[in-house]
Amino acid sequence: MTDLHLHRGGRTPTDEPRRDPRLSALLRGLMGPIPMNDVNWDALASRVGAAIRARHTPWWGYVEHWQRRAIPLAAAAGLLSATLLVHSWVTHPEALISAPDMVSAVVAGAPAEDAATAFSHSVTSAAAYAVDLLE
Amino acid sequence: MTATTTARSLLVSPTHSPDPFESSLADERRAIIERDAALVRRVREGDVAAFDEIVKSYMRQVFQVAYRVVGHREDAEDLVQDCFLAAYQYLDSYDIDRPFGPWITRIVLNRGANLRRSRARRATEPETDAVSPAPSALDEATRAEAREKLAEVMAALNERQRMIVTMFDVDGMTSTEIGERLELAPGTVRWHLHEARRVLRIALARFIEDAP
Repeated sequence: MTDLHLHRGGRTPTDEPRRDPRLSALLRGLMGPIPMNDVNWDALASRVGAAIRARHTPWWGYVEHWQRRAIPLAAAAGLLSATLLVHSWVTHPEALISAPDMVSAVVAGAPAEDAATAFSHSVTSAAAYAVDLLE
Repeated sequence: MTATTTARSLLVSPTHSPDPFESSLADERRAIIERDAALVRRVREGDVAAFDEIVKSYMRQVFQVAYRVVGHREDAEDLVQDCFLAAYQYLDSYDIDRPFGPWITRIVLNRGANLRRSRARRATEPETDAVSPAPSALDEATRAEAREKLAEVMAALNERQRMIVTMFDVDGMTSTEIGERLELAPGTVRWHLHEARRVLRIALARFIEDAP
């Protein structure tokens, strides 16, 4: 007998379906109960929490993680840049002057030949400076 | 007073007062939704501890569904963890005006179906140390045969029908409770139950007759 047959027997589709003790007994026997008492709920909650925390790293977490190494590295890089800048100004002042000269020439609408000369001068000065540094 | 006005006034002022039991259930449901919404807002603002509270509130319910999907305790525990991780990851897509339970239950059903498919053999056999089978008139050979048949039939049902018939006939839940858990109308639950039972009764007829 199906549930629809039960409906024909005076029940409406809005009624709670009848229990079927034989089907339930068979299914329970085959599937067994849910082993709720075998689960360590505190351990499971901790495990889930740990997995979430392992995955959850906010952006400030990365900053915090890297700041110990990043701050000294940034300071060292700044110091090195300053030293090189001072050194280049002392040894090759034309390398620093030529680039603004080129920009000025272009902005001021200098003839193409003058701008090209300024550009080539800037490139050769920078190249000479780089060679000096390598030596 | 016109007929329309009379009908409207009858709708606005019902002749009987609302059922106090139903009303208190609705209040309780609303309180849970508000509590969960507050927790989810905190999680979205970066408070991971608030998610621990969500986990503690729902892990039993999630485990029940997970166990019924995969049929193995350890797999179910893994699935619980996996589902909460997924829920955390996709929390932005959760609508805080709706109950959290059905949302995470859908995650369990989807991810559980994938897990069950990948571990098909293990999942069809309930773990022997966790299951205390109900007394049955079936001998061991028949039980093994019935279990095999059941696994075959359950695999043929869709995820929703399988879960509904298990919740109703094995776990003893009502169609209303199942509807709330799965966020389905009770009528839809009853229809799926009817369909699932029809298939099960045909496939397991011989074993049902032997059952006590």
